[in-house]
Amino acid sequence: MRFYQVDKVTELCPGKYVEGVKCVSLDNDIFDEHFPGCPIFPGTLIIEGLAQLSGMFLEWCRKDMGCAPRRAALSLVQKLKFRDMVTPGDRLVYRSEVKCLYPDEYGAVKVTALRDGRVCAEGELLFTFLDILDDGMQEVSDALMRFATREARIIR
Amino acid sequence: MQDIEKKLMEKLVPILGLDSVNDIRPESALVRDLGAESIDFVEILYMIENEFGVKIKISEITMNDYGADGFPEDGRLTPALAEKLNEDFGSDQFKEGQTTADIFQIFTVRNLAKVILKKTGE
Repeated sequence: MRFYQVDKVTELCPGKYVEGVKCVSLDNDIFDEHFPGCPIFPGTLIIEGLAQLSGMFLEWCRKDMGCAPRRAALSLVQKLKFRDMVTPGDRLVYRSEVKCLYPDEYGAVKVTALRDGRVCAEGELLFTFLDILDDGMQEVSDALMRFATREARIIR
Repeated sequence: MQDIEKKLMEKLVPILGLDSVNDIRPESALVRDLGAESIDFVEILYMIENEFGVKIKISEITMNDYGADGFPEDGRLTPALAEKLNEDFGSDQFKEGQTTADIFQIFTVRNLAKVILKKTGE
């Protein structure tokens, strides 16, 4: 099973922000259990999607700054609030704005999940940059991210 | 200095998963006594940036860049550097032969407050 919680990256502004899209579909097995007869997209998966988008973006920013590749690892979720329920058929726009970025140490972002311009979730994520331990896994991850960002608008 | 120590101890309670501020003393070592792990330091440094408005690097806690000539090449404190550290931090915890890993282990809340105080004064 692929555990990618972002369908497409739409906009990248180096060092500032990134935007991506997640489409929630009824064919997702998660709705068998969450919840029977009342499908609600789990908030934890929204956090995961925001974290994947943010982590990928911070890695991309570091690369853009000329730093050696390192893995962005989620180390803190804070001030996160779920403001509205997400259900099948919803198209979520994930946005991640850089609060601070220290390429050798950590990066913090403000994240938002929007549906039709309305906030469904918002908060802050903190990432640590770790050495890449498995080049093969990183290559697979990089390839998929290249695919996800193939149509992204880069704003400099 | 005492205000910084007090605020720092209060803010460290949730990060280190402690029950109350009474579990921390200024002389407590973050790693050895309070069980801080490397990932906690990212959160601690981020908290300091938000709460005290100063940016501290990990190397400023492990003293990698300390002194005009940096840390000695063999990775161990010289008598002169140990004396300078004790003088700057007002303590007697730094000793000849200690490594950066040793310093990381014994770095106290008070030491961290000193670094914050120095930074806020800059």
